[in-house]
Amino acid sequence: MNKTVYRILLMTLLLVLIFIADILLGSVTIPLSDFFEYLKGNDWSHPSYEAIIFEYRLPKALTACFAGSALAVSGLLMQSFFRNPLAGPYVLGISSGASLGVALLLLLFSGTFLFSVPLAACIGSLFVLISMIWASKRFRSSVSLLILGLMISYLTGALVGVLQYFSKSEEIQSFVLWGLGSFAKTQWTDLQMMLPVLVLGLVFAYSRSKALNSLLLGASYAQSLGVSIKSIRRQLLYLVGILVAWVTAYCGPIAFLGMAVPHLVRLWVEESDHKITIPLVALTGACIALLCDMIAQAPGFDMVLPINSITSLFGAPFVIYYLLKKNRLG
Amino acid sequence: MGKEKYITLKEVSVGYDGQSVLKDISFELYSGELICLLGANGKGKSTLLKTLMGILPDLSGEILLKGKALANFSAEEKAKEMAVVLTDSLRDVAMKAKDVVATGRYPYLSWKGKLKQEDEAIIETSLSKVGALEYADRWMSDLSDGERQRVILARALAQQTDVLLLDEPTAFLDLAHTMELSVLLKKFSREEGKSIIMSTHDWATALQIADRVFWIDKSSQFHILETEALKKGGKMNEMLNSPFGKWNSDKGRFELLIDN
Repeated sequence: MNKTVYRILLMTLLLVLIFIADILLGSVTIPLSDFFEYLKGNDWSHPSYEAIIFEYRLPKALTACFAGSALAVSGLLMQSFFRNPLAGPYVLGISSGASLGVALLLLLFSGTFLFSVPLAACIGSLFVLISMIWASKRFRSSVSLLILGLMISYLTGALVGVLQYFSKSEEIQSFVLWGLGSFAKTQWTDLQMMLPVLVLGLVFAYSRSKALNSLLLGASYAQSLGVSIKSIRRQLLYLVGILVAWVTAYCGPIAFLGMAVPHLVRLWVEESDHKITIPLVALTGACIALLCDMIAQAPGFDMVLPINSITSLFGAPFVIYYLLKKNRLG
Repeated sequence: MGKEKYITLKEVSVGYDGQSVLKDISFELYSGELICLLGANGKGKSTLLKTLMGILPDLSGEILLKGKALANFSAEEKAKEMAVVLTDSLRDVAMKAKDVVATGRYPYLSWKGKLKQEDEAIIETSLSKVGALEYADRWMSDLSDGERQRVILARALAQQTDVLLLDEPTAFLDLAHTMELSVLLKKFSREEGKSIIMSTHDWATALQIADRVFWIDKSSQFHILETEALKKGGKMNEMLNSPFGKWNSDKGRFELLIDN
């Protein structure tokens, strides 16, 4: 148990360091000494720094943190629920479902209102999740489920393509930009709506640790231990659906992070207890998302690369490596 | 110790989706009793066990657990009375042996699932009872079939229930491990007064350890047979019903008919 506390502290420290690095680095690099001066109550060495940090980089870093945590924990929940190490929000098409929901909203009804984007994303992601749960009862092999996820992604991609064909160019542009993925589009007002939902979701996930541990043994064993399969299935369905939809709505689809982070954590800690893995996966997810964000806004470049490309660049080879290696956790 | 009635079935029918597989089963199961459930595949052995576990609803009749209707037990209460060993080998479960055994304590823990010192002690005792203590920290996928089955049995023991239901626990095992498991189960029923029902295809072992044999025949009729009577009589050959072997009641063993 002490080891767990030590690991959580270590990851928290790492997260704080990466977080500070993320808000200081970028096309304009702010010196670390300025940051310490600011903590002491002094002014920034350049008047524009305050605005860069508070209006742009801080909301972006917070978004990355919580989006990364939420996606990574969703991935872990899905891997436990499907008893499939390759499950994750992106690979099983849940993110694509959310995209389809958003596409329908942005391209068919060009107006948006409060919460309309996250709600559309929710409907899309839940629709795909329910299909995957239905399918998982029929497919035994993890690879079949993966292929089905890919096919759902293609299907939603095709539907989005058809929608785009009939849409005005401005609408297409806003959708395409959204689809590239970005942590930078959230304002403080968006964060006020985004963060509470994600925090509640993460806390709820943690509270289900015991049932999740039993589920690792399969539905029948879990039932014999007093877990109501119907209710835990429903809880996880809504939890994962909402977490993924909320992140996708505000940041666009973000590939592979949800699937890969639980494996990174498992390579590091040999534990299966969700009481230990959920906090560690959440912290690692936040760190990885921040690192991806730092690469996206690499110092010295004037532009910001799409997050989705960066996570794919690292995530796809990781899946290939995993399939080749298929170690004992597979 | 006095015999207590743990499970009572009165004219119970079991099956899936309203379709009954087995009809009108009645029996009483006492403390310290070991039952072997025999019968061909697909005749309802697993269905009956799942119904007793409360995983499947019974179609008609009455099931009592310690005198109280099974349906009136909450899932947690049931988990404190009955533990199960299922056919799943748990080879692909990404857990360590001791964590698998720890799940046996879950019905006794709060939602937080934090193990107390007492639980840790029970987990250790359970592992040592089946001789699996030395690989408590190893991953399930790294164990042999025999080792994994010990861990799975330890998990059921950690649940500290009076009733133990096992679905073909010896299916994956070689002869030595089958013998080991059989002896262990007999010991648990004798020394700890557990009621045990295990389904199996291993008739020879069943005849040595079972107090009674429950047999489901080809036309899905349910029979209750006393083991001692079964060993002596000709009923055995009727049950076996094979041109390739017969029961020799003088020698008390099965014999292959190779030259016929």
